[in-house]
Amino acid sequence: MSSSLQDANERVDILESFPFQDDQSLIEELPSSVGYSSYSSNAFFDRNAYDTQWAEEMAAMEKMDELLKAGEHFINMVYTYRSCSKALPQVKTSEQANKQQIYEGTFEVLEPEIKKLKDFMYFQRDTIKVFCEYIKKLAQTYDKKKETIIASEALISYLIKLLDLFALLDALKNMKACLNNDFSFFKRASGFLRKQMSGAEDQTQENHTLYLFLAHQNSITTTLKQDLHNIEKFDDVLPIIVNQCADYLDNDKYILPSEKHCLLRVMPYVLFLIDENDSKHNIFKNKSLNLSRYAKIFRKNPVVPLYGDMQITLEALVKRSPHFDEKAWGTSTLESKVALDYEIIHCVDQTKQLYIDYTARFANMVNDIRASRSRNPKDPLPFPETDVPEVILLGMRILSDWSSRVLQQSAWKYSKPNNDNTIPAQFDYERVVKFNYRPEERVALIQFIAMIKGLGSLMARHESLLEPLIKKIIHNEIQQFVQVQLRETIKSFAKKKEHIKLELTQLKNLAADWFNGQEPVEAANVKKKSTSGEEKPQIPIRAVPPSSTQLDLILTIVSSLMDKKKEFSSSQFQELETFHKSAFYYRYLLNISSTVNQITDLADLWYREFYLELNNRVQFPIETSLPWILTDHILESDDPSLIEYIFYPLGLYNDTAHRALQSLNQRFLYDEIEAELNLCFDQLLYKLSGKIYTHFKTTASNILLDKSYKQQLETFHFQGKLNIPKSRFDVLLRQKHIMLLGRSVDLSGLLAQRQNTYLRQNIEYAISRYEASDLTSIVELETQLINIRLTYRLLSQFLQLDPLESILNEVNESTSLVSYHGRIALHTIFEIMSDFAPNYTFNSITQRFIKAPYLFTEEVQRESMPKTNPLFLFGNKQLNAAYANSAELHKSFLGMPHMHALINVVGRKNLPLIIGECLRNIEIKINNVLTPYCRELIQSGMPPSQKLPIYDYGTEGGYGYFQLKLKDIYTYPDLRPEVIQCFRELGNSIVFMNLLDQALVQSDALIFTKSAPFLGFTPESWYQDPTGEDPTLQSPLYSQLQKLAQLIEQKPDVTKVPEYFNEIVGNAWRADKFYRPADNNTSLFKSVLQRISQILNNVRSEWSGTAPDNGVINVDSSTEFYRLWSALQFVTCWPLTNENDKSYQELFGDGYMWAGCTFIHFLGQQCRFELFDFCYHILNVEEAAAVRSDKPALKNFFKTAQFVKDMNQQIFSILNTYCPPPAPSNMVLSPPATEQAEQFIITTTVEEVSNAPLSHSISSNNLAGSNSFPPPPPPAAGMTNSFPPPPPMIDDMPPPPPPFGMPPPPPPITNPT
Amino acid sequence: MTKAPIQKDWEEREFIESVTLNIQKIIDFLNKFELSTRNKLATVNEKILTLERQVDYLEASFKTVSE
Repeated sequence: MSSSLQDANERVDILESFPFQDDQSLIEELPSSVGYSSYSSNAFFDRNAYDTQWAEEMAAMEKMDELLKAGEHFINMVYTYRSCSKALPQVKTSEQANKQQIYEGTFEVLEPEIKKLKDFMYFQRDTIKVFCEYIKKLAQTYDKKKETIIASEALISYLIKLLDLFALLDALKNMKACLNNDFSFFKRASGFLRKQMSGAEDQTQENHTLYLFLAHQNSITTTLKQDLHNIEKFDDVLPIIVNQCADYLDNDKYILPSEKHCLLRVMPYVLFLIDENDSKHNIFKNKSLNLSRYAKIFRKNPVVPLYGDMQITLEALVKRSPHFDEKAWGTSTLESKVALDYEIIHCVDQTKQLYIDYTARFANMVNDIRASRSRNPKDPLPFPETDVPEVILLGMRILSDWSSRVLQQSAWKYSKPNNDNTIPAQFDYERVVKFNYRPEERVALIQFIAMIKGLGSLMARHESLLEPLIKKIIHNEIQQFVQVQLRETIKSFAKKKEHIKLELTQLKNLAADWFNGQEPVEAANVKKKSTSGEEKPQIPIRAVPPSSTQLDLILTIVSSLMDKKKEFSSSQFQELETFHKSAFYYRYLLNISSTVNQITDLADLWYREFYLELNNRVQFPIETSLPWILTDHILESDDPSLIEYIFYPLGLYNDTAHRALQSLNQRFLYDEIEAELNLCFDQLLYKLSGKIYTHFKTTASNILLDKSYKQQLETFHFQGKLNIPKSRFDVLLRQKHIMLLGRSVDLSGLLAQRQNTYLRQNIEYAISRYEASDLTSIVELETQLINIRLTYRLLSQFLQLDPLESILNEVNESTSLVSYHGRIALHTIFEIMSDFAPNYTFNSITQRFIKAPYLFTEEVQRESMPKTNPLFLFGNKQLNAAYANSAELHKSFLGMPHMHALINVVGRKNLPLIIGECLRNIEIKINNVLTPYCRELIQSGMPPSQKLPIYDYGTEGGYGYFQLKLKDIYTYPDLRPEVIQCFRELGNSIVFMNLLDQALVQSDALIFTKSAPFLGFTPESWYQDPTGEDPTLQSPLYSQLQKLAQLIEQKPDVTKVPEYFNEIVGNAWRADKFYRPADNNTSLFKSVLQRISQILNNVRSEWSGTAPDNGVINVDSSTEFYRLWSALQFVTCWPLTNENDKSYQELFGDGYMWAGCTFIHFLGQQCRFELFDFCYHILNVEEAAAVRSDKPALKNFFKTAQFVKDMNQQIFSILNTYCPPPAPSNMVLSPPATEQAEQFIITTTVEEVSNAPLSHSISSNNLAGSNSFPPPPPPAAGMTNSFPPPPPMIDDMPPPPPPFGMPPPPPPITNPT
Repeated sequence: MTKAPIQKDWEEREFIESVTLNIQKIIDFLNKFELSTRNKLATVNEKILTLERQVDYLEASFKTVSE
């Protein structure tokens, strides 16, 4: 059997080496799903096994133990009793038809409740009887000579508990007025029903007794007092009880807070019981009562928790005694001085220090034990073994002190409500709890609770390590006492003092555990003692504690021996005393976890049945619950160090629920607690996730805010408010299992879920803001999205979040795989079409657009701005202000920053859509607006002859000439709002795409410079002729990785999975192809221009005018487009007649010139335009003229015209760079064939405008390049396994390859050779 | 020489104590095992949930192709 036990031991020990994986720190009470109490009281079951003279007392104690248990049941019943009658319908008139039914129902409902009350009544009656019997028995032992009563300490302890039970039951009964109400309801119902029944006389008698019992206040105490006063000498017994209480309190002989409070409560109760309104029983004259001693204790603890939310004032009871004498008793101490003791805030600092010191000591001890066990289990510990129980006992005392402080403080608060009239309290409970704790006190309470639960968990966690040690030490101590000291004592008595020797022998027999199972026979040779005194009996080493009855008996006998102090020598008495002192605490030490659990049970902080009854309410809202008040305080306070404590106050619900189920046995209470906790937890999650999101959002905003700007702001405006806020959320964010009411909650998962939602809402908010504003706010949108991206990154360090791209697509409504459009892109297009193109003016010098001072279009209707939410902007007020300032800078214009933002926000894949839409708009405008207007203007607006006036007219003449000729056009009503407006729209679109192209080229250049070193581009290699082989094979990125892979291939022992390396090489190859600039450099703007040229094909024939009469060129009049444009241009240069008028420049910007020039360019009319233009002509005349004209109108005209001319040149040169005009039909004029011939020989080489599909149509964008990737390189020679062929499509890499732009060549350098 | 009943009781209880201790250790193990398992399960659960949502997302986007 022993071998199998050994086997089992080994197997169990193996469990300890199991690799657990739980990286979260413990921030709540130690969660244990399975509990086990290794040492429990066996309720005196084995008392007959021990043969002593104390058998009778043992029987008494057993009986009282049973009574106490039953009493507990009634306490719980009365405390949790809720009125039934409130919910019952009442009979209002005697004629009511359903009277009978109501009474029957009432009877049925109330009968079981009344049955309980009756049980209660009988219980207290019987218990009082039993109690009085024991008092009587004790009184009979009164020894007249010595004036003493023989009573064991243990028995008195039980009597104390019984007295406390009476006091409690009475107080509870007094408090519950609803018991009476229910009973009177029941009586009425039963009275009515009895009329119809017969033979219920006993019932009436019983009901009457119950009525008296319930109706009289303090009826239990009164009965008890009467019964006691009928006992002779009772006033000699009761003082023993009070004195034992006082002794225990003075010597700290208690561990549990409830024990301490029990002792305190019983003292005044007993005094009250003794004192009677006659001269004989006066507590102030009783010489065995030391009143000043009690008064001192009472004054130190004036208020003591009674039960749940009830408390008593100790002195109140004494003052109720008939003989109370103020002088003899003395006055109470000042309240403020007592408050210092009761309010834990005053000792929180020492407590923290003590916590640190003790946990260090405890942990040290545990580590030492662990270490020595792992070295050699047989080795002695590095410190005396007796330190172990000492340290643990100290810990229990500390814990007990703290938790009784917490409970006493709450009792104190209950007794001192906040009676300030200004607070909005609706009921008393708010005054004693919600408004009775100051914020600092809440913090102190939170810290206290955290320390209590933390230390408790620490101690309970190591129970299985410490318990065997403690058992061994206790066994050793007892045996040492019994086998060595006791034997010596017995020997010393020799043949005297037989009665004591009998007791000593009994003690020895019941406790001794002899080595070899037999008591060594040496009683005979007593005399040898002096010669061989060193012969010490061997004591077996066993980790076995005494049973609870055995322990009680040992204690009883030892304490009874101690009563006979005179019989022992001083050293012998000393031995007895020391042993008794340590043995008293064995029962606590033997069951660490259950003792610790009892000490750390703070459920009383929640229970409020008394106040519910008092305020006549069903339940209080959660804002008045202390656990939630504390939790909420943590959430609302800005102290980051508190956040780790958050689950300690919330864990109080575990205590309360445990009590509701395990000791109160009330399901309805548990349901209430559960419902409350559910509410609290939802609130907690809501607040916590908001707090977390704000924190990470502000962190992100802080990081992203421009550093020097931030510094300036800090110095001048927000002192220290822009720092990254401190936080300790990381501990909370790792919590994957929190125990609440036995449910395991995955906090991290729940928070992740909420952060996902927050991210979605935030993106939604950013996009909605964009949708409600114009194109300039795209920069703000970009800032917001960058911010959200960083927030996401910071959050995903701790939480498992959805991929950001999918969140973005979801909110942007761009999840579709077949079309590229999302809310951002669509709004951008909308803005370009409806606001940007028609309403902005372009300035070529600054390369910016600004809003025109006067609009020719209706106001744009946009979505309304979403409600401001500072959290979703940049986190807090200061940061929002800081960012708003910088956003303001980009609000008044549109330029390169916006183009970059557009590319970043919309993404390259959405650009074709935007460009395509722009082009379509251009096409529609040309076909539907411009063509009819041009036709109209050319046919009826243009003068029949547009010949340029001869030089001799001078500038003035020429100017006047054209003014006259173009009067019709100048006064054409649709000229400004329609014609020029349309040109402006087209021009703006073209410029926009030009700017976009520039921005793309810039960002491509950046990408290129970043990737160049990896791709092996150097200035030399850039200009080298291609060698024909794949350049990827030579690139540093690919070749180095491949070399590495080859090396590893040759050493199979280095790596276990070479496939991974192959994959890396494959990826390197793909990356190289991805970032390598394509040979065929494409430009967005070039393609756009080609498309415009195509669009112009529709009107080309019309705008090219009629064929010249002379076959060469139309000079005098022409219907070609450039002539019309010249006319329009002249009109736009027309000086203002009124000072307040806006010039065309101001109204339309440079955009319309772009449109005109582009058309002329692609119609191939640039040279003719430059030759025949009206403005140019006048400028030329002016230049050639000897005298400068000095008319102001003319001067202005020159200025404008010169500017226009310069602009045109610039535009033409840009257009020529990007896309030369279609080759014109060349006309070669050869001289006539013969002298006589009149005709020139004309040969025309017409090169049709290329209508072939564009080489790089915009819609077939970037992927065209990557589609044509060559197959992956062949495996290098010598390699045994081939690389997995990389897929031809690159779909898993974030930035697409440069689709349009061309990487700029590196700067040319001179060849050294 | 027969042993006194109390003496026997001590010896028998020693056996009970060793069983008790082992039960205690097993319970410690079970509690620790629970926490460790819960941690792992929570991690797996989170991953599965994320994957599930991703699948939902992909399903939605694939629907756009068939429409």
